[in-house]
Amino acid sequence: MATTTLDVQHAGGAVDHGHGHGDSGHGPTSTGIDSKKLLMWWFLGSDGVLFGALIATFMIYRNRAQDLSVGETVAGLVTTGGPFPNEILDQLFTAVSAGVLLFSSFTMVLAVASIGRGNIKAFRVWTIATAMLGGIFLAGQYFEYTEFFHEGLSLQQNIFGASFFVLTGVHGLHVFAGVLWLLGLSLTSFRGGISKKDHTNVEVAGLYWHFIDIVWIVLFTLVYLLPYRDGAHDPEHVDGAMRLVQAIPFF
Amino acid sequence: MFRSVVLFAILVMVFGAVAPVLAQQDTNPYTHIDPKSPEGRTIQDLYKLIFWMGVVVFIFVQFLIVYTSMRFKRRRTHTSRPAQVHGHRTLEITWTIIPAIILLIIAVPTITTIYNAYAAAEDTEEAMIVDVYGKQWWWEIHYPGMGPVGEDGQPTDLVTANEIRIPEDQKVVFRLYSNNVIHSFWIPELTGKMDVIPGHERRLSITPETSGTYYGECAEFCGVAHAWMRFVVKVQPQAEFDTWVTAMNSGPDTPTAAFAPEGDVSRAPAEFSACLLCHNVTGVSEAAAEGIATDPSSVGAGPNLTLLSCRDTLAAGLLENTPENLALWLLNPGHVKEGNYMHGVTPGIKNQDEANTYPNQVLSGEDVTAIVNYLESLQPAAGCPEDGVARGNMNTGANAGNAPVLATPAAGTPAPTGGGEDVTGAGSSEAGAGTPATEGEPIAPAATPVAINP
Amino acid sequence: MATIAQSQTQARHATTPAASESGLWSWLTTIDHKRIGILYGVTAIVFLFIGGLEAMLIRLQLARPENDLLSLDAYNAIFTMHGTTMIFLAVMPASTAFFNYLVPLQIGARDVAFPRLNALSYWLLLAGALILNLSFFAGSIPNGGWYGYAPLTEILNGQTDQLNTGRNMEFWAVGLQVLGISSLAASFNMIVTIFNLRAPGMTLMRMPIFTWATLITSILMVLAFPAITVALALLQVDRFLGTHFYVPSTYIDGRLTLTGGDPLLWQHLFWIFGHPEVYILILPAFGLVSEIIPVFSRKPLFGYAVMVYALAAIAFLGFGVWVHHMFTTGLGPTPTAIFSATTMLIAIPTGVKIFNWVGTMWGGQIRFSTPMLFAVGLVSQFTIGGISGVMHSSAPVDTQQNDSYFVIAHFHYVLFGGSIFALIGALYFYFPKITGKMLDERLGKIHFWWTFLAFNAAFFPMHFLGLEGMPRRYASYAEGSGWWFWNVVVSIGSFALALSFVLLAYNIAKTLRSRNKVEDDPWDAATIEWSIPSPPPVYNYKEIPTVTNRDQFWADKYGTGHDHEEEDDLEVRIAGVKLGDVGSGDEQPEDQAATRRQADDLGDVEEDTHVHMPNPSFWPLVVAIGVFLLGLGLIFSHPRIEIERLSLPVLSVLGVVTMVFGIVAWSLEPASDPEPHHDEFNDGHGAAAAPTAAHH
Ligand code: HEA
Ligand code: HEA
Ligand code: CUA
Ligand SMILES: [Cu+2]
Repeated sequence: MATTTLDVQHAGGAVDHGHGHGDSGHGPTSTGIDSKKLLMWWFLGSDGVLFGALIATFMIYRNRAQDLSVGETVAGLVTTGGPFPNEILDQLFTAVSAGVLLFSSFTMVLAVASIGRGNIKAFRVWTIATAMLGGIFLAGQYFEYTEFFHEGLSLQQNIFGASFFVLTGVHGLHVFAGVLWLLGLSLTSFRGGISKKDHTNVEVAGLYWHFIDIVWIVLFTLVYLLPYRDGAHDPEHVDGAMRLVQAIPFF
Repeated sequence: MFRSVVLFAILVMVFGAVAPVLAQQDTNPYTHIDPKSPEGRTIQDLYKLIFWMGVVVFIFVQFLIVYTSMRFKRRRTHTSRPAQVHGHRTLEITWTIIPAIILLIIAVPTITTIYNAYAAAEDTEEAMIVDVYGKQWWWEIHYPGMGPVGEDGQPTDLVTANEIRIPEDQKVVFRLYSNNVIHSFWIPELTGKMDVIPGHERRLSITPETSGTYYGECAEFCGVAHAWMRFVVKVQPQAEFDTWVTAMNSGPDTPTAAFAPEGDVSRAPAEFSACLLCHNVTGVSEAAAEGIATDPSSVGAGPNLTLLSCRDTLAAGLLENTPENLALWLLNPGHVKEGNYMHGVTPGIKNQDEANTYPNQVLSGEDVTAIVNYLESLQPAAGCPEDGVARGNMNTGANAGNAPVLATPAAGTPAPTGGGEDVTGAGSSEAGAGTPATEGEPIAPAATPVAINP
Repeated sequence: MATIAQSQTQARHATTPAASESGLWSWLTTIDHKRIGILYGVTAIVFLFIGGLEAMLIRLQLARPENDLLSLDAYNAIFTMHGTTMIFLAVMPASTAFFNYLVPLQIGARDVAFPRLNALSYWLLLAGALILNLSFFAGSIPNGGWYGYAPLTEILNGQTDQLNTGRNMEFWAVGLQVLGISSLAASFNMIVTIFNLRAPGMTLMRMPIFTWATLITSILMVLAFPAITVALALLQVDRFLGTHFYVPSTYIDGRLTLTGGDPLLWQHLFWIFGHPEVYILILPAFGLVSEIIPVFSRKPLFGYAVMVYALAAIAFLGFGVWVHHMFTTGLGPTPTAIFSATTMLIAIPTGVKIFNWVGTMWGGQIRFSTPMLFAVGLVSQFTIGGISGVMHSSAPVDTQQNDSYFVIAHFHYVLFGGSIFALIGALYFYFPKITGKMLDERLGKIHFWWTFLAFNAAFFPMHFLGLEGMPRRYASYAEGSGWWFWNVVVSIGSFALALSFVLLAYNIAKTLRSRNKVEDDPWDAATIEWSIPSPPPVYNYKEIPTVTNRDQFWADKYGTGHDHEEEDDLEVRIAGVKLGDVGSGDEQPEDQAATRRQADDLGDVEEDTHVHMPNPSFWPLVVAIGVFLLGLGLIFSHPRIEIERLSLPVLSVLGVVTMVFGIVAWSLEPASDPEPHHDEFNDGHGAAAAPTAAHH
């Protein structure tokens, strides 16, 4: 049998199978790591840079709207105005939804473990549970967004809104894609298309899911926990803010 | 093959020889090889250091390649394979360390120069401040607090456009602003460039040493007419500079202002009121502009026209400042300088294509004549202030190849020829000033617009 | 065993005829890495000519002062498209062509890890390229420069509320976004292929150096492209949805309002991508040259390990120098000084490469065939570009050079004298491998010397223009500016340079038409891709080779001679996972015997055509068409263009539907065999495969 394996590695192994059955990883690869898994690792590395760039953007702008409001109070200029983060972010609410997402990582681990044991039923349960927890998180985000819109914070309202919605929105899209993926997996399992040998496929989905969880922990810290400046009410920052404002010529 | 290698070697020599020679003598208006300020010289000295290091590396590497190529060519006598050498640790360490040393020699003065340049621009104690606003595609220049006293009793800014005058031997700190797109403020002969970035204040310090005219340009791509966003810097003795400031502040008052209402140049003709929507002229009666120039946000949308006829160029270095060219500009600005926002004054003309197709429909030929004659008369009674031009006015060359000048046959004046050779010091402004070529007869608009840029 | 033999026979019937077909359909559905490589290569050449044609327009316009050949706006569009085309549609695809064609051959694999993903990468490249170039027909050509500095890309005039609603930059942004996805997909594939599909015995430190260059370039792409993805996404959010990420103040409801956006954010994001990007353009070239020079010097690459480390060091440092494109933005003394220093550092590993190449030639028996001429040409000409790069790296000096023709000279020396020289050399070198025919050597030598002279005539005087203060991106210049003379020289040189490409095209056409086959190993090459027939069969290796040496094919031909003084042991571990075997030049005898035995067994099992290759697939093309339609939909539905609003749903929805359809069909498609019971073979573990049939 060893010989066939080798062949698969170099010919069949080159095949990216459709979902459901087999994958490039059936033969031993040069590294011993399954090819799909390796692909996912590098994808996550790349995705990490994507979030890095978005997070950097957010960090640059997180206090900008408040800083500008100084211009309004001190120099009577027109600025985009509030709502500002301190007035609008609900740490408690988001902490709960972050908890939900964190917990889904745990159920994901259980799903991967059950498929490893060949327990399809348990796999189904845990996968759907994970997807549902993801769904709850998304629902929370939807609620949060509508609440913010209600209070006047839109994408266009000010630069805080813009960077907040883009950053958390991109993360939300990732969660959404993950939920679809998990639902797809459980759907296939209902059709009998999943067996112990699909362990790797599930593991790869798991990697992705843990990654978006970790990203959320970072976002939660930077967006919700880290204190914001208070803008016009915050005398310490008037100087710097005024420099910002004055750099813009008005004619 | 051998011949090729020799050819190669010769090329190497030519490069090695030509480059430094060229790098030493240059009289071009935009050269930075021979800087005229200490700031520029520091940069040039640093450049020379790196340049010579580079020449050494260059010659060494090229020599090594040519030598190796010639010495180790395969010959018929080669029967066995050469020694299969896989590397040589000491050698490899050597050619890691030597470049590192060369780079260190470059890095140290580089870093000190960086810190010094930033510090100089921040230190405004002894310096005169000039604010520069990058516009699409021209420059607005402000001398803070040097303008006429305003309504609130405070001195206002002295404002001009596309022509910067600064006193000799005086440190000047330019503060650079933009409210549109990014530009870059560059006077190669004086010092390096600095970008003009919306939302940021940027500074550049220059201490010009020699009176004369220097040429500036926009170095950051800023849209359609980026190539025609030039300016002139006139370095003058302090006294001449002061005279100019006085002249600018008192505004135009030439006695020969026949074309202004009641011969008073401080009162603009009615035709000019449309211009005052965007342009300003210091000292011109508000009455003329009554009810028009009220939107403060539009002030500064166009260049300040105070003492316009004393400037060298029109349209930020595109045209020589002559009455004919001014008329041409007014008849169809979008045609003369593609993309510029003044074509918008023509109602019904929405875009560049249309602007190119129709001549200006707001102003009739007579209107244009009136405005040209009025603008030409905007001078101090004592004539234009000294501008200390000691060198050729290269901008006259700008229109040599540009059809519009030739396209006003009615003006009856020969098209100016290339001015690159105009090194006599005769400022074009003098040539055109005071004596409107068209005395009386209106400058007819060109029958059909001649497309410069079809 | 019986089942295996059976399924292999089936596989042959099912796939071999299709794979060797040559109709249009076979190209549209191919997932063979060699064919995809050829597709990449042909595309690259086509766009090299288009980009070159644009360059000729630039040179015509600048050949005399105040030329009115092109309007200002047309000129701006032409240089934008020239830069974008050359970088994203010529040099990058050309490199990827070699990645695709060579890497599986060099590592002894039968294809890449994900062949259909590979096809998708190519079709996405074509989609992006078409989107960009369709702008010519739509009459709104991108005109913001190849690095599209905001806010020019979103406001036209800050003094009024004129927004840049033209579709020009829309074509650019959407096109680049699609090209980015294509590059990312291709890089993931290459990385996994190189890590996972190496032949037995091929440790990381035994990989051909070009494979190393591919690996490192791919990693660069994976880590650099997300930055521009974000930059472009924010730009589009600004343009489509009215945010102000890059605009500090603008008119909102008729009032000038402070918004707080920052144009410098674009520059940072762009150059965090953009600088690694220039190394993405040069590292494959370095890899190719490192293949060519040893072969023509008959000596192994000097300091292989150091060459690998240098590649890695350049890539690593490349992420820490982006601010050198922003020296004139006034970021303050400390960042400027730091980035000056880091930029200078890159000269060190690059210098090591230059000297090691010379070290390779030193003591060799050098044959100056055309590939070697171009390779040595790179060593010589790239150095010139590198030295001008070091001049830029000194920030104060750069304030006089930035955005002037000095920079244009710098990067054409590194891009043309570097990348293009290497790519042309590699074309001559691998042409026999790819087509079985040899390009005319005599013409080739004329071609080289012509290119060499014309190239220097075209680009060296740009240094002088830079010193004379001529800014780049100037559509026109005054006669009195003193720039005329050198511009004429540059233009003449450029046209001579264009002719050199005509010569190349003639050589290729002539060779392709001739019937002179060349032997499989015409250059006496060192690596295993030359040990198989030229052109290689679909399955590449009848028998997967076992690798015991770096220059395996030389070792096979001439013996090893046990002179690997400098073989380095390298164990690469990432997160505790061993990625490379502890590799050393000479394997333990037992290991060797074991691997060889394995290979021999394999040879027993396989008869010539019994190699099982994956099936062609149509779905990558379908997905790419979907992306293409979606892209056009986005472009033509800019919300601020009222008239076009109607077309939004139609094109975009059509695109999304096509895309989703393609993806679903793709994932349901059996990858290797139309027959349901093929899985036994594919499963490889020999596990009972009965249940798998059920889900078809
Ligand atoms: C193939 C692409 C490529 C490569 C390899 C490089 C390599 C380098 N580049 Fe270049 N660069 C570009 C493509 C490339 N560049 C492009 C496209 C732009 C313009 C983008 C735009 O604005 O449109 C640009 C612009 C650019 C700038 C910005 C200029 C400006 O706009 O103001 C700078 C500044 O530091 C720079 C520096 C360097 C340096 C230091 C290297 C180094 O890596 C070079 C190192 C090599 C050597 C030095 C030669 C060999 C070494 C030796 C022989 C050892 C001994 C040498 C010494 C001690 C000096 N480059
Ligand atoms: C790999 C990249 C690459 C390559 C190979 C080239 C190749 C050339 N470039 Fe390129 N160039 C860039 C990348 C490149 N360029 C970039 C990134 C910019 C910056 C853009 C920006 O500012 O945004 C730039 C900008 C740029 C400018 C500055 C424009 C400006 O700032 O105003 C100029 C000016 O001369 C120029 C000239 C040339 C010339 C003459 C060639 C020649 O080498 C071209 C040689 C010719 C051909 C390859 C085609 C030959 C064939 C024919 C013409 C035959 C006829 C056709 C058929 C038979 C169908 N380039
Ligand atoms: Cu302003 Cu270019
Ligand atoms: Cu760079």
